[in-house]
Amino acid sequence: MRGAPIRVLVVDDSALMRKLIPQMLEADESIEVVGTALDGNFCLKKIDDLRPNVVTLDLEMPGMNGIETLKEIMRRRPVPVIVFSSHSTEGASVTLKALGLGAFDFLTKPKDASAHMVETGRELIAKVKAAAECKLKPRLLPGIIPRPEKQALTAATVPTKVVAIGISTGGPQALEYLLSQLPGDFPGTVVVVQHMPEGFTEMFARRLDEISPLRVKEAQSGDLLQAGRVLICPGSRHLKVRRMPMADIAVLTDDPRVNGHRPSADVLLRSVGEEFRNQAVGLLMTGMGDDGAEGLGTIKKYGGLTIAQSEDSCVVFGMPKAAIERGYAARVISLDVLSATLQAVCNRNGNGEAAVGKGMQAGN
Amino acid sequence: MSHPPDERGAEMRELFYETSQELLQALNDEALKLEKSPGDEEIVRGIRRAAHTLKGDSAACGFRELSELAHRFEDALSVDGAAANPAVAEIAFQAADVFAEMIAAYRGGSKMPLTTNLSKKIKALTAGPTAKKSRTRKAKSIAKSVEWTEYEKLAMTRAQASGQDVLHVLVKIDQHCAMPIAARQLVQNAVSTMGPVIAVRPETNSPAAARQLEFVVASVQTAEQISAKCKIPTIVEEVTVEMLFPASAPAAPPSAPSAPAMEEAKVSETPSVVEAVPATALPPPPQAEPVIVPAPMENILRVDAGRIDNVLNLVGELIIGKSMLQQALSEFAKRFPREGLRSKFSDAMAFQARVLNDLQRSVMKIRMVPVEQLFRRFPRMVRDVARQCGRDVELVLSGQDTDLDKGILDAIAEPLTHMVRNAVGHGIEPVEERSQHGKPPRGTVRLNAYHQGNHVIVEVSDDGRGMDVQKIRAKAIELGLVSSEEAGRLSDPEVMDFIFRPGFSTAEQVTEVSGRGVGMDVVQSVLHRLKATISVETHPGRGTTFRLKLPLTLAIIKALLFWVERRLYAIPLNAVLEIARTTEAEVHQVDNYEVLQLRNQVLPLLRLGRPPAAEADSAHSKLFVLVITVGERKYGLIVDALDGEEELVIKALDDQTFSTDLVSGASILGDGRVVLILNLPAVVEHVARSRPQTSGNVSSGLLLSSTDRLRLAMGAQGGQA
Repeated sequence: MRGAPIRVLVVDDSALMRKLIPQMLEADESIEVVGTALDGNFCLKKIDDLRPNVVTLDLEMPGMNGIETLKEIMRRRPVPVIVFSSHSTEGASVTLKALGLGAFDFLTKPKDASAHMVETGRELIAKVKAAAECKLKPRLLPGIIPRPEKQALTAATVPTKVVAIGISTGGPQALEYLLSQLPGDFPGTVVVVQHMPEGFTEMFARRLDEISPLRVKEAQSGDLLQAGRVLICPGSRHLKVRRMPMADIAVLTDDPRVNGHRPSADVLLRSVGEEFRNQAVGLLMTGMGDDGAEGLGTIKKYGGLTIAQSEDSCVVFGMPKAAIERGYAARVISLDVLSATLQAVCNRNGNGEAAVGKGMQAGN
Repeated sequence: MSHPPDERGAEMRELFYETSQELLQALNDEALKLEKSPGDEEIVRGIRRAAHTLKGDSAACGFRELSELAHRFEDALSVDGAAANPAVAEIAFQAADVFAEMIAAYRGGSKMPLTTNLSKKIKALTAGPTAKKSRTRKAKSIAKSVEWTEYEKLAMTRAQASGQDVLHVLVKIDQHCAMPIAARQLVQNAVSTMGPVIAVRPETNSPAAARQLEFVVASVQTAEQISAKCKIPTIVEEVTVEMLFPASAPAAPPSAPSAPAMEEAKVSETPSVVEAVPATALPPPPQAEPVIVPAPMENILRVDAGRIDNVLNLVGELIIGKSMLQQALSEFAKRFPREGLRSKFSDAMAFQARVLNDLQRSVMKIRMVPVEQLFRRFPRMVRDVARQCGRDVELVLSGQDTDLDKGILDAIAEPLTHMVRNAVGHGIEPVEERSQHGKPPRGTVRLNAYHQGNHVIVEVSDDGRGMDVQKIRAKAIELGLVSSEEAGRLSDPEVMDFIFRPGFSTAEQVTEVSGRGVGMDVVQSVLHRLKATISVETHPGRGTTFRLKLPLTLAIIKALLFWVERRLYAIPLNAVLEIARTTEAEVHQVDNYEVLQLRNQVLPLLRLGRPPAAEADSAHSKLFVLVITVGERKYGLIVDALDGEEELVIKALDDQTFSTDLVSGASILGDGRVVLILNLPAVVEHVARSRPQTSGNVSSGLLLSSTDRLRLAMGAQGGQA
């Protein structure tokens, strides 16, 4: 084993979980669970005493609940926090709130955990490791001011370009920022695969809709790709696009997982590339793993524009890195100029080159 | 059911069985609180949290059914305004019961209990005051097949604008049709001849064979023509064609097709009707309550009780070893009175004895748990029983932090439950009766626990109608338990003791008359096994108190050893008040009772041995009388000689070795001798019960001969050890 182990504090009000989670984590040699806490107060105290590298946090706790605890952690001594909570209707909005407050990532306790124990354990370990490596920056993004003024839906809503985004860990915050920056008359249409389990995406889309001038919704089969619209792929389904005689539409499928993911960014990007050719814009943003890299390659092959988010603005520089390394990213662009770039690329009259100067040319 | 096969899974499930009891308790507690302050959102959050954790934990163990049910319950409570629903507390109680049954079923590998009733109520919860929200949800799931996609709506609008009618075609495939998939194709072909098909439900790629097909078709044909075209004999049973949007009706947005929307509304409205029905159902009887296990806290080690018993057993062996050493030492001292080593030995002995004492006490302490663990199940139970009987009862708990041996605590759970039920159901009067007597309408049942010397007292008291001593006296005479002459002489407490007699209290009329005491003989027999005593104090019109006197522990006692007819016996030292010397001449007979006048009081005597021979000289033979207390009463125990005081480690006797309740256990002394420990409450009762019919002396003989067999068995055991 190289280096010091990753010190993890497990916070959960269930005695069973306080036993189970450490067992799951310590299956990996490089992780050491240094303590457990049953509520927020204990958690804060133990963070002071034990100085963990990563905290796993349950959101439903008596006394000081997860959200308050998270606020305190971020205020006092920021530590990467992975929200590990069981899924519930209310859980979705709370979880998204937690991500908004700076939680590194989240994972839901599976409904039938005994069957997925090994899988969940592996996922949790991966997230803990990613969290331990991340440089926890103080919020890189300026406060987002909700801009709810929406453009009226007009008949002439055929989009200029189809922007396909693949995004994972660190995504919710980055997407919130990006979509709040795009103007209401954005002429392109946006389709998004955010790795997120079932039940979260609807809430997530609603939240994005509140802060973005664009119209954001969770995609349903048959939804029209319209200018100024953002469709978020629902958890546990795949999103594809299809050109139809009367309009272009989104199609959801229940095909098997790709790269271990459903939704998979590869599925979306490939489909957008194949259907829209040079009208396609592929964008890979922050996230673990390499889902979407090959899809970005497809877009590139068919003459679309491919963009990877730059390392300095990623929470986890995994997916963009994979695409850059394989030579699929035509441009590498920082989050703060992404919206300007997309606007320039999609603008009806512009040639799309105006924004290039702000971005960086890809290394290879 | 898929369980993780490995050991870890088993461990996990064990942990779940334990921790889940906590959660169920929390559920019950919160529900009780909610009943007191209805609509309190904080409490409802607590209930939801318990359901939430239960859901997560059970999922982790692969208990899918439980997890799903808990999930639904949690979700129902998450709906806005759920807290305001008055049914929440009741449902939480029921949920706690059903969850407990499910957990028991998982644990025992038995059949899952029915959960439909609970599911219905949970569903009704969401349909109650928040019908609006649930309706939109249902619309999505149930009526999914009639929601058109954006593209389909667009196609409808376009068709309409181009001068076509948009029609909805519902086709029912004949039930007897053998090939529904082929039938579907035929119908679809027929529909498409009428014009472009905009939408099909179920969707074209769906694998399931549907008996009902829906199409949206843009057509210039009339509804009748379409219907005729689609009615394929032997395949189609029924066709319904309905106009969705007539051609070129300008700018009618193709939203909300009317017919299906109405259907949805109906669907979501029915559950609110259902709600009222099950809410009145009574909760299941609380006997099925789970045994409550210790509260888990951080830094607490959960240990199997068996392991602690093991340690305690070993400590017991050590104590026997200590007395062996002591005996050896005193022999040594006698043989070598001048030997200087003696004092070294005795110093070491004293030191060892002290440590052993501490060790014993520490181990005993491990077994001690606060009675809180037992008490906390009662609020829920009292509430349920009060409801069943239509009483208004408040339960007041005190002394919850009094510690008691876990074994004893578990053993008294049932008798105590029984007594509390009686107190609520029979002791407390109905509200009208209480107000007639000028009492507050709400009755009070108290549970109290406290230490008293080497005992723990647990009291169950109520402020109800009390018991009528005269009626019990009359009943005892009627049942032939006592002659009317004798009955007249008995004190009130003595009369009250009759309610513990088997057969007495089960008589139904008595229940009505005295209003109390059903099954008290069962209570009594459990208590005997524990060497515990029970007494009752009642004041007509003011209430009744049952007082359990429990030993602190069952394992080790300080005992007084004595001889009867050259056999060695022991009784707990703390039962002995004093030791008196007397002669046979001072023993008097009063109606078959042997009594002794000791200073100012008359003591009933218990004779374990045979009566003295009738010869004159025996009148002067010396006797020892041990004055003992059993319950609240005093007796004299006639013994031949005293042996001494000793700390005894009680070896439990299994029923196969010996079946009498006169002896509560046996012990092996340092020199290997076997001593039987008498169960005083049982001895007293045995003698008292047999007295009126026989002369007490014969029964005493029975005691001795029967214990001999036991002694033989124990002797054999001791020899091996």
